[in-house]
Amino acid sequence: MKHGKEKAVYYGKSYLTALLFLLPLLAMFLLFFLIPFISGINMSFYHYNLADPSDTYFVGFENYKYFLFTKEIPVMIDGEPVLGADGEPLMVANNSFYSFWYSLLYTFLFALVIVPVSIFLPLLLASFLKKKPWGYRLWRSLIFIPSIFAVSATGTAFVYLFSNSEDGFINALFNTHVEWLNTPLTAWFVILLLCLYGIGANFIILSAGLENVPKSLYESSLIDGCNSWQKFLYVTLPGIKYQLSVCLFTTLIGYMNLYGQNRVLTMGGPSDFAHPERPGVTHTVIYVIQDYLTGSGKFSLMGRISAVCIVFGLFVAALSSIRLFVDRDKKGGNKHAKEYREYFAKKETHPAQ
Amino acid sequence: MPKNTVSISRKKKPIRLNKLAVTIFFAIFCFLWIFPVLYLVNGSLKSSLDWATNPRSFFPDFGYTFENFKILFVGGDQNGAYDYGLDAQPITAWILNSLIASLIHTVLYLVIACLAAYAFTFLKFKGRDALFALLLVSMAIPGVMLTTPQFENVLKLGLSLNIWAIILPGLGGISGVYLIRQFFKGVPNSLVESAKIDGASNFRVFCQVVLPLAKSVLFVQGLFSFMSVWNDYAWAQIVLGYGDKKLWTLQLGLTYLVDVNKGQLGSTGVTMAASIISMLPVFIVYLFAERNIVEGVALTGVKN
Repeated sequence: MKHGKEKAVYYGKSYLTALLFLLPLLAMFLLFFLIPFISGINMSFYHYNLADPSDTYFVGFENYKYFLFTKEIPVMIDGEPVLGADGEPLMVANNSFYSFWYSLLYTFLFALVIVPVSIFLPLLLASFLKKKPWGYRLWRSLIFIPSIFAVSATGTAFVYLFSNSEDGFINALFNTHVEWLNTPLTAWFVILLLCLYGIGANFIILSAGLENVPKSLYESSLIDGCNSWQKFLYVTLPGIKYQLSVCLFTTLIGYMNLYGQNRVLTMGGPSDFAHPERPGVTHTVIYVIQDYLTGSGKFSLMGRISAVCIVFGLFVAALSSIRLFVDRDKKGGNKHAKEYREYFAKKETHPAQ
Repeated sequence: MPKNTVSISRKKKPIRLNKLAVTIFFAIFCFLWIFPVLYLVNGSLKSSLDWATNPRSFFPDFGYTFENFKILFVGGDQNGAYDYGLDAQPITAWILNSLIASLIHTVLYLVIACLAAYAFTFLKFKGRDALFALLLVSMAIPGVMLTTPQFENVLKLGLSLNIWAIILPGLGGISGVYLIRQFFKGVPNSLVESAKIDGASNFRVFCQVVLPLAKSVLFVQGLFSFMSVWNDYAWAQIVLGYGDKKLWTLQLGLTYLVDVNKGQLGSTGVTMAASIISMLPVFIVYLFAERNIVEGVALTGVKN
């Protein structure tokens, strides 16, 4: 009995201290994460008008259907559908449907290009930096620094470097007149260049990873007669596996949320003139969401916008959950034995634990 | 071993050559890499007359000048030939808004996250690891799912068009707690234990033992937090963008300047000057804490 009571007092006291330390975070987490998270899901099932609460009613999956499956909507004037000559309501293409699917397609296609590039380029640079060139701290800083600047600031440089006018820097330099930001492919190319300005973190992480690959492994691979490609494949890559997965997934998730670059460079354009119902060719999903949230009808469209956010959020979450499989530790007998040895070594040095 | 040393000494010459080649590579690459930033600095110092009459050349014809910065703050010369309607931009308000919001956010988040990280590292209570794991799961939930309800949230808190709308929502983030905890784990437990045996309270241990040892993580997380508000465009556009220009942050103002000046060559330098101003604070922080920041970023890629 006595023993139990003491324990309870001990826990009670430590709970109180812990609570004091954790309270600010937990309060903020509750207020700005958990509550909005739940209310966002709730919102997506309503016609939700922030400006006029009486205009809020349950609509089930209508919001989701509207964006995901409704290709055509009736033409409405004063809330009444307009009838055609045959007595049927006139239908027009539902821009929201096309906006969502095409921006998703563009986002995804761009990620297919930018993600490998933002892993390979920093990896290449990091492996060069490992040779410790003179002034390597300066080079490291120069490569890292652009990634801490705001995209709108570095983007300004790219707006004028790749200006559509023939007086733009690149056009003047090569005496060409390419409308860089007005042509779909070159516009995406400039966005890609601006995105590369953000590889700084990947570069530092991979650099540190390369430094930490045990030297003894390289030496023994030298004795085994490995050539440099084999060394890279069997020593370096396994040695930085974790860093690669960190970079891969933060980059992937990061570019799923691509917005600033295309906002400052192209404003989502150029328009797809052959298909007026589709969004501008540099629209990403976040661009579409931002368009709705800063547009004039935003307050009455909260439910619909929430639905897009949740569908896209689930899509991104599914992508990031792949990481669980990539990072899982395959535990063979050898690994267990190693853990066991380490556990005992620890116990001997710190008997208190 | 002896065999190894021989092979290395035989290879000494190519290593030296290698080093030179890599240095030359980095010199060329870094020049091209940093060129857009140089272009901005150079362009911001070219007068509007220069930009309007000779946009094609990199160097100015009429010498370098701080005219563009002056135009930004006090407006263009109303009677001059090169007044590009840039008289009434409230850039001082933009800078102050951004600075105040970023600083308050950084300080608040550092306090909140350090306290929590201390509890998760040095305090023993039942369910600690389970709670932490639960919080970590939240990091996997994409932020986009929170956009609309967060907007509703700040409106309901009465923060419509208020600077606190960009300060508060980030405070519930877990990634900083995770990073700081990684650092705290490097503080020897024996130090904390012995301080406690000497009768120090947890709060004293936190302030006088743990924090001084984890100074570098404060720099790193501080820069990250500062950047998250200072560099933010999307969220500020949602909660402040529909308000009066005076309420905007610097990034909103800068993007606005880029948009309105796109077709006007003469005001190119002014836009560039604004973007230089937006780069300065993070650049200065980086200069002072380069080593710590590089170390901290590297730490984000270390398995716990």
